[in-house]
Amino acid sequence: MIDCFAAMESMLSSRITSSSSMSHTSNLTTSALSVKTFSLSELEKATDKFSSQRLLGEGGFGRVYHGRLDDGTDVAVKQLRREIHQSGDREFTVEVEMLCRFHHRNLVKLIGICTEGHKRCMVYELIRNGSVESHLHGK
Amino acid sequence: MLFFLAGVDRINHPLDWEARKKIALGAARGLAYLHEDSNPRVIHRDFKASNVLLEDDFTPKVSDFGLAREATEGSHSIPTRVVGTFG
Repeated sequence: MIDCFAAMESMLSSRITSSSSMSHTSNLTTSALSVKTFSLSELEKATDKFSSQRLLGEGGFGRVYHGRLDDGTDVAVKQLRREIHQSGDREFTVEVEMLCRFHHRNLVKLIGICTEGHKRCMVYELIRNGSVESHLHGK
Repeated sequence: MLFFLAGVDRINHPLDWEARKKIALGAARGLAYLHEDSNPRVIHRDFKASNVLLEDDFTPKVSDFGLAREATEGSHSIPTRVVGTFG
C-alpha cells in the first residue's frame, strides 16, 4: 500500500507541467488515505491481457474489464483510453483523488491504480449486478 | 452468452418497486454524502442510470467520478458550460 497523494504526485510530475491544469484539484491532494498500486503485468494477468471476453462495459473514458487478482478477489479494471492527453490525465487524477478520500456504502470503492508507462488503470471492487441503465433498458 | 442471458432476464424481469425505492434512496444518500458530508464537498456532474451500479441485493453504488468537481463554499457562480455525457 502506498500513499495516494504520493502516487498521484509522482504520476503528475511526469505528465503535467501546467500548474493551471491542477488548480481544480489543489485542495484535494492532501489525502493521506492509501490505495494500492498495481503493476501492468499484474493487471494483464488478472484480465487475460485485457481480453475482449472479459469486457464488462465501455464508457466515455475507457473500457472496463472483469479481473481476478492473485488472491482470488474479483475486481473491475477500468483502462483509460490509449490516447493519453492532458484532459485524459485530468479525469484520471480527479477520480482517483476523490475515491481515495470518500468512503460510503453507496459510492463505488477504489482498490488501486496502475500508472505504468502510458497506461492509466483504476481497479475497483466488482459490482456484479450491472447498472440501473442495464436493468431499465437491457443494455 | 452469460451477459446476453442476463440482458434477456433483465428485460423480462424489470426492477420491482421495492428495488427501485432502494436504488433511489441509496443513490440519493451517496449524492447527499458528496454534497454535505464529504470533505471537500463534491458535485458529481455526470449522474445518470448507467453510472449507478447495483449489488446483487440492489444496493446502489454511484460510480464514474471523472467529471466531478469540488463544490466551493459560498460560491454561486453562473454555469457557462453544460457538462456530462450522453445517457
